[in-house]
Amino acid sequence: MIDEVAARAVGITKTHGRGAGAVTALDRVSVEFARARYTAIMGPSGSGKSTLLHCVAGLDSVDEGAVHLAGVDLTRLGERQLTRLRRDRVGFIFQSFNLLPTMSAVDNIRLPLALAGRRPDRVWIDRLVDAVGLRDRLGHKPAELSGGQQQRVAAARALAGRPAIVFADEPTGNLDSVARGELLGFLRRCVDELGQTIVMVTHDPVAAAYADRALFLADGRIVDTLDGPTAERVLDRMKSLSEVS
Amino acid sequence: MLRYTLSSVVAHKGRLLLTAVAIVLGVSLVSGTFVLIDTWRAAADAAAHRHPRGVDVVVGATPDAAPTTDGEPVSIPFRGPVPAALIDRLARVDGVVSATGVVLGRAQVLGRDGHPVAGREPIARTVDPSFAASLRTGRVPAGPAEVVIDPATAATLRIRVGDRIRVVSSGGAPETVTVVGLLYPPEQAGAAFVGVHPSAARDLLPRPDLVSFVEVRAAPGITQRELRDRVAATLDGQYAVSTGADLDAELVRAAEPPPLVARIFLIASLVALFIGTFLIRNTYTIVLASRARELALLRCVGASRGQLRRAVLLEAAIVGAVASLGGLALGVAVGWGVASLLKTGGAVAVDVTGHTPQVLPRTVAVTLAVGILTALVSAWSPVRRATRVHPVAALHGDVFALDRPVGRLRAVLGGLFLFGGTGLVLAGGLADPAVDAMVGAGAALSGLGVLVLGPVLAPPIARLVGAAVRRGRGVAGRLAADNAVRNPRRAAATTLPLVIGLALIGFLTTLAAGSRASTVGGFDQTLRADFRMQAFNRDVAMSPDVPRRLAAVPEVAAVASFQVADAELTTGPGPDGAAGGGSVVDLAGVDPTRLAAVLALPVTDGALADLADGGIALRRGIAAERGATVGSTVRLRTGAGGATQTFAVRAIYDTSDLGGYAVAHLPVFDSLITPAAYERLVGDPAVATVYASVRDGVTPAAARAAIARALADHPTVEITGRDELRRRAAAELDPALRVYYALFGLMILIALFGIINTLALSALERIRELGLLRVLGMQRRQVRAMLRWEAAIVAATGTAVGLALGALLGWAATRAFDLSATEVPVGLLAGSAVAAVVASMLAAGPPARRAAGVDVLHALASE
Repeated sequence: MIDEVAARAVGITKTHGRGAGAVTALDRVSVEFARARYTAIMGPSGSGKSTLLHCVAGLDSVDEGAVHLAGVDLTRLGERQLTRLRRDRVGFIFQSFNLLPTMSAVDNIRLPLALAGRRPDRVWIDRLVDAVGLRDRLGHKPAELSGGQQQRVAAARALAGRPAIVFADEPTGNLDSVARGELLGFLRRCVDELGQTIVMVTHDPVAAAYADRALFLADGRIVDTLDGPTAERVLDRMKSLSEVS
Repeated sequence: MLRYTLSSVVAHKGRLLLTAVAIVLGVSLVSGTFVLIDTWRAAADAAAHRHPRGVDVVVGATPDAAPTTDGEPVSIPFRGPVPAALIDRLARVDGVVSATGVVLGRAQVLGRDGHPVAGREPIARTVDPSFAASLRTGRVPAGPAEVVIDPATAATLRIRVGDRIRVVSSGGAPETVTVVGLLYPPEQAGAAFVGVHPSAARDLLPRPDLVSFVEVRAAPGITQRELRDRVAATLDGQYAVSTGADLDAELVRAAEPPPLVARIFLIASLVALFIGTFLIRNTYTIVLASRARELALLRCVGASRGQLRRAVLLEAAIVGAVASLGGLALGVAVGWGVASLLKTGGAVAVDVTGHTPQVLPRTVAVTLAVGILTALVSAWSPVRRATRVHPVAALHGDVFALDRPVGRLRAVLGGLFLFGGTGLVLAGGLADPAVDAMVGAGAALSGLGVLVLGPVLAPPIARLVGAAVRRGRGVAGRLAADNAVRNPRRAAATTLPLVIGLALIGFLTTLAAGSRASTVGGFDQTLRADFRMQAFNRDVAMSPDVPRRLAAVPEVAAVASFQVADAELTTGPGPDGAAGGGSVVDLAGVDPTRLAAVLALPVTDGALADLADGGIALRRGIAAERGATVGSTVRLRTGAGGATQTFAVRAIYDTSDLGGYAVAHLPVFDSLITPAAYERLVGDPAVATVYASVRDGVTPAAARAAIARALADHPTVEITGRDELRRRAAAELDPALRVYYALFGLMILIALFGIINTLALSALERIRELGLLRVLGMQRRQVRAMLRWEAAIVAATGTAVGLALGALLGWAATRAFDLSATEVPVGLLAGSAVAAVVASMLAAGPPARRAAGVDVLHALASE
């Protein structure tokens, strides 16, 4: 049977700090991210959306519950195995400081493969490069690229190893509206045309509108989901959430 | 602001600690030098004050009688004989209670195994009853069968007062005498001393009309100075007069650290400090860059630029002061280490390590001043740059680009210096003869060039060095190679200390190799003999019986014996016996036909075979100095009151290619005359040194055994084989080299620490990047490898440049010093290079482990 779920969290709880200052970032959250789907995680600041992403991606440990990623229970893995899993099965895009400044764009794209000592799949990399429209920029260092171009390099890098799932943490946070559109369009095409799975944390309703589904977090719990979100509907939910809290 | 400074010192403990360690290392050599020199001096003082001479005035020959080429005049007692008639003249001077003629010579105490103490110069003199108060224990000799010896010899040979011992005096046979007391050597600290009864003076100097010097004692109420002036007034400048106190002071000075040693240590410590400045500067640049936000915040809330600058500089001063104290403590240990090195190297007569370390207030003050000043100077420009950043820009966190681009002027100027300097060194070194001035100027210029050109030169060289790592070590190696060159200025500042340290080592190693090669080469070309027979040194004579017995040994093919004395050589038609104006030479009496069997003397003019009675052969340097040529005549005179005789120059030989260290172990002298002529001129039958070659087919061991049997009655004679002589000649430089290598090793240690320090700080600075790499799947192992390889590339760069520069300069120096052989010790240099790189990789372990262990999310979140 083919598992139609790329990642699954079952009743995960995460508390930051201890004693009186302890903050519950995630409170028994259970969630599934289906394969070849684009999910947006939304919520106000401090709602736990980044923590959820970190926990599901294996960057952070959970206090309770279990996380399955690409068919593996992360809570049973050691540091070295987690690193290998991230390297081979997961892609990451961050808000900023995404690229290694000493390496050219194409070297940055191939970095996860180089770390693994894997031979890059030329055809696949070519496709990615064309999809992000950076064919003529491959030899440039990050400092010579615009913010949008840098972020598209980062996106291509996240996909270079054909990961089981890509996590994006506020990927449009530092971009202007044109660059934002280009990046989000690329991510959308990756899901539609290349069958990739993407989970994106954002607080931007426009970005969320590119997703297949939007999850809303508040105080460490999933309070709502929205299938086929549009910017207006997301904005409405966000408003009602902030009124509630 | 003071409160900010103090809280910031406390808050940044970790980073400041690294700065502090850099200062501690830099300062420790300075304080160590002072501690060493002061302790050495104190030890010398203590040795002298423990046994002051009970003599008021000493009268001896004038300095002209025994001038030396080293500049420092010979101490009065050692200048050679004065007429015995002088004693009566002095006794008649008003205020003189007694005037005693003293005879100085050589005698050796034999231990129970029949051999004398090794390594200390034997000295003997007459000891009269006036020394009773100066004795350490016992009494003065009451007859020729009694002696006093020095406490150190007594301890080494386990001799006690009352023991019967055997003593061999210069050129004589062993005699059995009784030890009646212990006395520190009055004329030379650290000598192996024998004091004999005045009636035994003829054993030391077989001339009843001469004494070595005269000791005068003053009547009560007359000071040493008063008596000295009275005595000097009656002598009319014919003799040298000194107070006992002045001679004691001279003895202390002789035991004190030579100014050259002090100077070498101070220069070494200044170089270390210079290296340290680079380190501290690097540290400050990085530390301040990572604190730019904090400083910007302070600016935003109203701190002025000057306030900020003062605050950070004050912080540097505090760190400098605290670190200086650490450096002082480490310095005591460094001084100790160097002292014991000097002692094992045989370079110091006084045992410094037995004394409490002398930490004078001056040392504390200088160390503190140097430490604080170094911290301030090093912090100055990074602080200026960090505080100049616009507050808002700094707050946005975009200040990592504090590194200024490398200027074109720097590249041009540095290139000019380096290539001009190297060119000069090469041109000067390749010229025949080498042009010293060109080599020297070139060396200075290329050193300056490396300094200026560092930031331009370091990245391409590091890239070249890193190419292998990039290719062979996967993505970690590739990132390491990139990171090593990403900041040219920092790369240069990090490698430069290593360049300096290794350039010094490369220089010294190459120079030493050249010196060794020329010594061994000169030795091999010249010496034909298989054995040398000699007492402690050439100055300690042997009985003429020694060569006679050797000649009778069937295994021995040829024997050449050398009688040696100092003589004054004059040329031209001047009046006989005129004081001064001549050259003091060492004169050897030897049979020229036998000489050829043991030594291939490079004769340039005339022939040694022509050296009949009345003829003389001269070393080319002396001949040139006196303007003598083959066929001209020279006059020789030995000792005060000795007769002057005329000799015809028959041969001139050139030993300048042999190397000074070889000559010391070969029978090479300034002038040669026949034994008969020597006998007439000097009148002393004693033999200084004997060389012998063995018959073909006789093994060295068999020959040695036969010689030892023949010389059984002469226990002070050392039999030294050719191989041993060769080894000793080659090892002549080793004690000095050990000290230098220890000093430079310390510099390398500081430099390696600098690499590690910079690595740790730049890892801290790149923490987000490390976090990103970890998120993308870089294993901790790979992070560690990356940082270790980065350190290795930086170290290899510094090593390569330093050793290349050092080897070039060393080679040029061997040319400039006219050494006959030049040799670049490739194996040794490669070995030190590998050692430096491996050491840096090992040292990079802790910071690499720390960087690899960093929490991923924390690293990503940090600014």
